[in-house]
Amino acid sequence: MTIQRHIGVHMSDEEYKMCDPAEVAAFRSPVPTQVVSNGEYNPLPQTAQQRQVEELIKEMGDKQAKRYNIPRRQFLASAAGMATAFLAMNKVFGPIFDVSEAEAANMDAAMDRKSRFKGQFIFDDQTHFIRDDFNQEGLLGLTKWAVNAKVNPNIGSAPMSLSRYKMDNYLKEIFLDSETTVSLLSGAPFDDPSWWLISNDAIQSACRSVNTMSGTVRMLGHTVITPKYPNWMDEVDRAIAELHPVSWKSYTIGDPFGPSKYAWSLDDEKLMYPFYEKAIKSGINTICIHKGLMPRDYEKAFAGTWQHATVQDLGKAAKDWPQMNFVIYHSALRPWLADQPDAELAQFEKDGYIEWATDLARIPEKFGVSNVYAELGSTFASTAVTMPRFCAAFVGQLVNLMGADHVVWGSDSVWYGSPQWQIEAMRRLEIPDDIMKAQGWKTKLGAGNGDVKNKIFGLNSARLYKIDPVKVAADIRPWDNDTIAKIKADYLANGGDTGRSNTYYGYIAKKTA
Amino acid sequence: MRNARYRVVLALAFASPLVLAADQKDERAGTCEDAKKQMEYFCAENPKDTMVAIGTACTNAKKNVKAACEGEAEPDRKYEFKDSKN
Repeated sequence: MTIQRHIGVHMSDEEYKMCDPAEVAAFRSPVPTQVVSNGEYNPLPQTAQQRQVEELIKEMGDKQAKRYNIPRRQFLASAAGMATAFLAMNKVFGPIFDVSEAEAANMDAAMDRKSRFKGQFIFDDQTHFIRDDFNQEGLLGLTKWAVNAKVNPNIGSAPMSLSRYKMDNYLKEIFLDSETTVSLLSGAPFDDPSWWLISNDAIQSACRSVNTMSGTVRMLGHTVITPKYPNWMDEVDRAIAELHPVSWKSYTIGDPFGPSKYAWSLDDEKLMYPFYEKAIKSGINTICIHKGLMPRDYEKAFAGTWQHATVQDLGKAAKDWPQMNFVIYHSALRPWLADQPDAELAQFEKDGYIEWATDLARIPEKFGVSNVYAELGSTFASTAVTMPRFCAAFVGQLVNLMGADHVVWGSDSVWYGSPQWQIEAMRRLEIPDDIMKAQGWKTKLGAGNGDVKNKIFGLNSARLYKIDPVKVAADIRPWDNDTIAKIKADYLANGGDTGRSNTYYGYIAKKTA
Repeated sequence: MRNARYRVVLALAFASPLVLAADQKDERAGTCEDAKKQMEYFCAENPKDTMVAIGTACTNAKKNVKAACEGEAEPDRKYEFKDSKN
């Protein structure tokens, strides 16, 4: 197997030496038993608790696999295997996930539960794949890393491919291996153009291809805008006239992977207000903004620019432009991978503050606005794995301060393989009673297909993106019988479900003895 | 003739780093002091903390130092793809 260093990777050589590729090194659990990095930051080493979870999953998986006379890997790829993983997490981290012993022990019970979610509308608000001619620089970095990490002795002779991050695998991971109904495809700018992920034209072209093939709307697309670049407004005009994206995507930090000279602010009246005016006039009045995701030492790493990753520029812009919708990606959570999850949880338990995410959550009340949304891409995945209690606090705070109708689902796929484990984790996540009491919150997350989670998973995005609510709520929805549904049915009939790879792409910290 | 001369000047301007006057240093990515911190963080050989980048981030930081400390800035780029279909 060749090991690939994927787009956006920018860990140092030293950091790569401390990592193994997730797709070969990680135990193939239905949910990751340690943080999988998308390459933006250094993954945490597996904690003692995560190791305990892994051992429990193996132990319980072995027991059940023996009962069914199937390999453990096959059992863990089943619905009962997924339940086993959450049961193990509850045993170690406390009862955060809604799961029963019966589900883990009985494949029929697990399938019964799974069938209850049939038809749930899941809109993934943040997904990516890369252009076919993604630049060679990343590939060279892969070679350097793979050689240093000694993960593949034949690295020099084996051909390398980034296919796992490309469109065909994206479609498999998202539409065949998960219950995602509709995805929103995005892109990203970098100061170094060789890192640009995909063109605005290609995003729309992919959407057209997929939707034509499917016969339904399965994929929607962004147009990336780059304020501070020369003539950026020309691209805005072109998008309005020719591309017709459903929303805009941008990075106030300029470049998500390094200090940029193109950082800007949402409330820069001279720069942005003419854009908002055009956006509203065009009817494309939703903008998705990357916020948060900074290293612990951000004041040094992003000296002079890190302020643009906070939400300090959001309140005024949202108030001045009530017809715009501002979807804040990653919910502005500052640490991408909670490098000190215990400390972050302790801070929350002490004063209710979660770095930068709480600032976002307080904006609606502070500024009297209702056009600000929190999106969960990457931040849900990383916190659910490292510290489920913190994850529950993080999501719970967004729901209780912003309202369940202002939180939207995103998985940041396809960096982490199929998003199905994230979907399962969200369905099962609940806020512990002691946190509810201490924070004075009223809204629990509830059932996996209850009111709150249905809104988060899809109804909020359906509203934002004008997807017909009648179709979403119908007993038989357009997506249930379209071409993708038929391909999926065939795939499942041929063992696709039990064949779920449980593979996570990216890097995990090397295990220590 | 005059137009041709302008074209030559423009071509030179876009072919090489833009050298700014000392009082016109490009501080969009931070002051000289900021940029040095960025470079120290991202280009360090033995990083101790998380998110130490290679490639883009270190390159960014080095360029930011040149722009903010030495007044040597690259011309801004348009966000465009050679083949817009990719």
